[in-house]
Parts: sequence; C-alpha cells; structure tokens
Amino acid sequence: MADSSSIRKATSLPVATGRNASSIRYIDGELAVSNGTNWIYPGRVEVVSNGAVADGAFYVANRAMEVVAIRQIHSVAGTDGSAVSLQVTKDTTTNAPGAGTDLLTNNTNAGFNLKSTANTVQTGTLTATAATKKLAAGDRLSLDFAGTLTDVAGVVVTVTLRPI
Amino acid sequence: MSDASSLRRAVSLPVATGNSNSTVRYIDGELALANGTNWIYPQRVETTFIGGTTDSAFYVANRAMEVVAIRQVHSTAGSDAGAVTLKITKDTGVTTPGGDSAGAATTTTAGVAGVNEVQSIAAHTAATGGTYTLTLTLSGESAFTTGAIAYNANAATIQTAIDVAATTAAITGWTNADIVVTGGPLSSGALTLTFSGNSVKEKNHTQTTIDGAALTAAGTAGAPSTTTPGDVGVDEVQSIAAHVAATGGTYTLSLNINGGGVVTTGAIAYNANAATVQTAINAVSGVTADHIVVTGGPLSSGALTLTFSGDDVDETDQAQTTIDGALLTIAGTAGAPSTSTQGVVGVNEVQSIAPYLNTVTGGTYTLSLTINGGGVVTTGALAYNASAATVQTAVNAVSGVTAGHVAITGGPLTTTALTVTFSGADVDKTNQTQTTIDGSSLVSTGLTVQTGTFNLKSTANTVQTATLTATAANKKLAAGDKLSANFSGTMTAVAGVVATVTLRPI
Repeated sequence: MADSSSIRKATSLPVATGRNASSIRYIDGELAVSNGTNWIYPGRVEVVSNGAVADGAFYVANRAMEVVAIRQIHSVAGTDGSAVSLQVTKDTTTNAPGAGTDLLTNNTNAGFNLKSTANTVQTGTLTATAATKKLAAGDRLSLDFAGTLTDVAGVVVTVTLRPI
Repeated sequence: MSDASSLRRAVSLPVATGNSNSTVRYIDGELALANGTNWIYPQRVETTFIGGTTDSAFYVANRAMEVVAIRQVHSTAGSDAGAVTLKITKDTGVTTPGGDSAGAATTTTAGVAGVNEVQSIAAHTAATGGTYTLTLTLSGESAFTTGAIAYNANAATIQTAIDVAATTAAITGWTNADIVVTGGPLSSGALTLTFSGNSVKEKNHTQTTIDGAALTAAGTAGAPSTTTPGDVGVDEVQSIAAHVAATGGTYTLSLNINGGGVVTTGAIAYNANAATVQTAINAVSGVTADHIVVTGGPLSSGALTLTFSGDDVDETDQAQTTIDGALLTIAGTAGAPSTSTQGVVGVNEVQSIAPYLNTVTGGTYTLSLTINGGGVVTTGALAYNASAATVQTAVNAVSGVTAGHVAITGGPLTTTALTVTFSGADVDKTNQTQTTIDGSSLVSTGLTVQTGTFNLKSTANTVQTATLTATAANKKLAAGDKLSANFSGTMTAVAGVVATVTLRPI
C-alpha cells in the first residue's frame, strides 16, 4: 500500500480507551503503536530463564525497567508430596538469588505450582506493589524454588519488561 | 492515562540536551521517548548469559547491533588463588567462542618473471667496405666501445669484438658470450644482440649504438651519362650525377679523350668544386688546359658537367667518362639500432600473513600454498605460536620444491606477521597464487567489548558494571557476530554467573 505520510492511521484500530484516531498513542505513559489489531509496545523486551531448576539469577538490569508480565511452563511436573513452587524475585544490593522481593502473588504468594499439569502455561499474577515491579540498573531477576524438586524438569520462565 | 492526542507531549519531559519539547526525539542518533520521567530507548534489547563457567556464545546478532551496557553478578565467588575473571567478547567469523582470528593473507610483492633484452642493428646493404664500431652501455655500467669491425664481419667476429671490449672495460661479472650475437654480417642482414649471460640477463640496458663513419659505399657514386654526343658542329657534353649521400672520401674520373686511351685523375675530394675537378682533369687530359670544361658540382650536392669544347676535342663523339666512387664514404647511414625486447628485471614474490586479529591463546592453523600454479598443498597443523623455523619445516614438507626455496620469516603470528618469500631458483621470479591461512581451529579471546574483566572472586551477589571499550567498532555487531562469555583462571567454586548485555539496533 503506497503511503506518502510519515505515519498514517492503521486501517483499523484496536479497541482502547480514549477517542484517539491515531495509530500511535501513549497508553498509561507507554508508547503504543497500532498494527490494526493490537496495540504494540515497541519498548518492551523479553528475558528468559531456560531449563534451570535451581535458585539463580537470570537477568541483571542495565537500565530502569518494570515487570509487566511473567509466564511459566515445565515439561515434567514435580511429584513430591508437599508443595513444589517457583517464585520469581527481584534481587537488589547483595541479595542472594531468590532472596529478594517476590513478584508473584499466585498460590498465596508461593508463585507457580510446579506440580501442575506439565506443558501447560501458567500466567503470573504480579504484585500490586508498583515499586516492587520496578527494577533499577543493577537489580536482578531470579528464580526461587521451594519444596523438593523431584522430577521437575524443563522449567522455562519468560518475563516481559518495559523500560521506565 | 487515556490520551486524546495523536501523540501528545509527555506531561513532563526529562531533562535532556537540545531544546525540543517533543515527546519523541533522537538522542545520539537513537530514538528516545519521554515517559514523563526518563527518556526511554524503545529499540533496545537485552540478552543474558546465564550460568556455567565455560566459554560459550550466548547471543548471535540477527541485525546490526551495538553494545550499550553490560552488568554481571555471580552467586558464589571463585576461591582459586589466581585471578578468576569473566570477559564479554565479540566473536566474528566462524567456530567456537573466541574463534577465527587469523589475520589477512596478502601479497606484498607480486612475482615478475625476468626478461632478457634483445637489441638489433639493422642491415646496411649499401656498405661495401670500411669498418664500424658498436658502443654498449650495460645496466649499471659505463659505456664501452668495440674496436673497428669490418663491414662484412660475421656474428662470431662481432661477438669476439664485444667480448674483448667488455673484458677491457672490466664489466662486473662478465663472461665471454654473455651477449650473444646472431645474424649479420651487417652488409647483408641485421645483427641481433641477446643479453642472456648472467652478468647482463633480465636487465634493462641502454640502446647499443653504431658508428658507421668509416663504412664505405662503392658503386653508389652518381651515374655518368652523355647529355649531348659530339658530332660535326656539335660539342660533346657529359654529366656525372650528384651523389648527395656522400659525406666523405674521394673519387676519380676516367676519360678516354679522342680515343687516345684512358686516363684517370687523381683522387678528388667528395665535395671538390668544379675548379678543383677541372684542375684534376687538366693534369691528366693530355690536351690543352680547360678544353674540357667542368661546371656544376660539387658532386655531393649537384651533377658535374664536362663539356668538350676546346678545338682539340670539340665536334667529336667522345667515349663516356666514368667515375670510381669506391672510396666515397657514407657515414651516418649505418643500420638503425633498435630494441626489439626490453629487458625486465625479475622480481621474487613476497607474501604476508598478518598477525592475529584477536588475542589468540591456543589452537592451530594451517597454510595452503599453490606453488608455480600446481595443486594446492596444505601444511599440517601448526601451533598458534609456531616459530618461523617450525613453519618453514611444515612448508618444506609439502611444498614439492627444494627445501627453503619458499622461505618463511617473521612470526609467530601472535605478535608478528609471517613473510613467505618465493626466492629459490625453482619458484623465483614468478607470480605465485596467494597463500591462505585456515585459522578456524585457533582459540582466542575474541574482540574486546569491555575494558578489563569481571572479577569472579569479588563479593557474591554484588553486581559489577562493565566499562565498555572506547573502540567503537568493537561494540558494533554485524549480523552473524556473536557475544561470548570468556572465562579465565580456575573456576573453583564459581557459580551462578549471570551477565546481561543491552544492545541497540544500529
């Protein structure tokens, strides 16, 4: 489609608040771009922990970021009789991996249930405390396992961040 | 916050350079968006090395990117007594982290085959006597001149004359027959001088010259003729055509006056005027002086006219006067010298293998050579820090030519270029194919992205921030370039190593 404008309105716009007909807008202070179906947030990035089943950091912030989403999956569920769970934490200063502030409120703040059905994505419920979700440069994201990890395997966690 | 504008100014703008009130601006060439607090760089991405303590790549660029920040943390510090470090590197090319670091293989001096000079002296078929000399000026030597060479000397005689003169002139390294003479004699064919001996081969020599001033050219004097035959009431008039080529020597005239027998003048200079010729005829004619009147001339510029007008020779049909020009000379008309093949100095090929692009700490490389256009031969594996002597041995083993004729100097490649010189008799003065290096098995630390290293013995769970290199090129990744973790030291106890790199597209 030939387009002589710098930025033109999408053929259709996704539903959003406001009465803005532009393809670009700020939504909750974050730049959003319409692709005709969804609002895309071009500044967001994804970080992934792939396969680890021990407490450990998997991201060190180089700039101020805010956690906007966390999802998790495992290929083999835990079989231990007690609860087996995975929390994602924000570690600051000299926190050991997983010793920082919990980001998830799932399962009464325990985090993802690693005994849930394998190969089924779990969506994290983020803490309501805005400050907790914000990372300064040097803050880390870590996995914090709880319980006995018998049989647990194939744990993948993806965190979406937006620069702030 | 809903927003009724297309793209409205942020409620407040962060402090930034420039005077733009826009929510969107470029800062240092990068798109930045104000969110009311900070400038956000929406194109930046994060990539993270997680866990492990062995060298490995953790990012491959799919587009041109630039490193803008690196931070690192470890959960357990190293306990080894020596230094234990981590450095993030940019790896280019192929293979494992810190991979291909071979420097460029180039030809410093292309080989050039030597060419022997060939000169020629054109034939001088008019020469019928006399002599000539040749003056030769060899490359790097003073000129020397042969002795007199007979106009009809054969090639062997001419060559001997050159040999004698060159020996007398003490030409450096001279051996008789270094200049081979063929063809000739000059009076019938061109002379060819081929500069093929060791003292003269493959050099550019000055043109040899010939001095033909002493050559003679008999039979080329002007043709005699009778303009008006004598008869009753008519005086005989004869003519000797001009011989403008004559530049020296003498001639004689032979007359048969009144059928009384041939008389011949003394030698007459080639440029004698009519009065002089008149005197010469008077001296031998046996008739009254000036009864045979000479006009015109001198012969070198115009015809001579003999008029039999005196009463003792007039009104009579006289025999044709003849001319003998055998002693006339025609200097300056010797055959023209020329160079049919310019001598060219041969040049030995010199090639170079540049030092490693990165800091190479191990592994091997091979060199592949194509000598004299033959097949490619490849050395065995050479240690990354092999000396010139070691490389020489490896090349000797596969070269197929005399050992050392492909000479290796310089190196080791960790610091110094290797030089490959094709200097032996079986490979010299030839344009050789570029030698190549296969460094895919080298082990290096890659290109430095950060100055210094992360100390893995530092306090656990404490973030370290890298200082990026000031070399802009090292921070820029082309598609296919990799970021790697490069560990150094003994990793005892080191655990939970995480390093996050922020990149921006460029």
